[in-house]
Amino acid sequence: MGLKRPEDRALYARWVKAIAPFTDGEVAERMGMSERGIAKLRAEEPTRLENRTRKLMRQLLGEPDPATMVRERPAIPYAATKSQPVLPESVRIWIQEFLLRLTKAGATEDEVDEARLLLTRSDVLSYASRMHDEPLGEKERLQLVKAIAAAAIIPTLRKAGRKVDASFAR
Amino acid sequence: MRHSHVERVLAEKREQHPELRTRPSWSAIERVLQREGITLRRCPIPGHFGLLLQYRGRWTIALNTLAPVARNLYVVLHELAHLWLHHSPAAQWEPLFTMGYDVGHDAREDDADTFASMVLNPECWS
Repeated sequence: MGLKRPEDRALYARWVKAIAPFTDGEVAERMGMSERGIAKLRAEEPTRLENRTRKLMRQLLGEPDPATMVRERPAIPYAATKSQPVLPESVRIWIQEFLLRLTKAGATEDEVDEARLLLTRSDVLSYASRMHDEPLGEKERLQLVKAIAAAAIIPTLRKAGRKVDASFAR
Repeated sequence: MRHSHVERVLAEKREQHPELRTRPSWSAIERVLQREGITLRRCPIPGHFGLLLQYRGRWTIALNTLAPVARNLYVVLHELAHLWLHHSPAAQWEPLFTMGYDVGHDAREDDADTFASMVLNPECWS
């Protein structure tokens, strides 16, 4: 009668071929199954495979288990994932270096994440009294990010006992 | 409609902070900030008179040292207005960062200006 699912039939056939040179005891030890169970499986193709047996067979054959595989999401153009304008390179580099310094100073993951959020979204600060409506240049945007770090992030973390060097934001 | 909302919030805040019942001095505003747990800092901030920032649940108003000192009182009241009128504690971040430079007009800016004006020039609104 045999296995109904074609993929199980193919898996079983590969498994039988792979274990051919080995004794039931050797295969049982390798798979973590009973010797009797291996002998029975090898003697006759079963009508169905238990999930555990299927998994053990795949492990023995060195094949990934589809049930535990992570499917990669389809690629999305980078620009489409961003709702905010891209920060200039010098600003992004400064932010990354600053976050690294926070981490080295003992800041927690939450503290670093919140700092990243505040700094990377500083382009769209709404609760700011603007002096003019023109977008800032790269140098000014870097200065703005440093100001946010100096005004809110560094003092808060220093108060929490993190040894953050304030001079980096000057 | 919006003015009535601003007036209502200001009336509540005047109960909490008597300093706001008349045109406040700088030291009076500092007392209000202290009572509200808001830190005031001064630093160079390109393109901005001031910023209202929240980090780790603490609020900071940053004043631009490059801007005219005479505007500081107005700027602080403007930022306080954003906090009192527009910040939703349930949405910690969203209300702070929804506008970009390309947004020409935001009614919340009008609210904040109205609030600051009501505090600094109460005679114009009575």
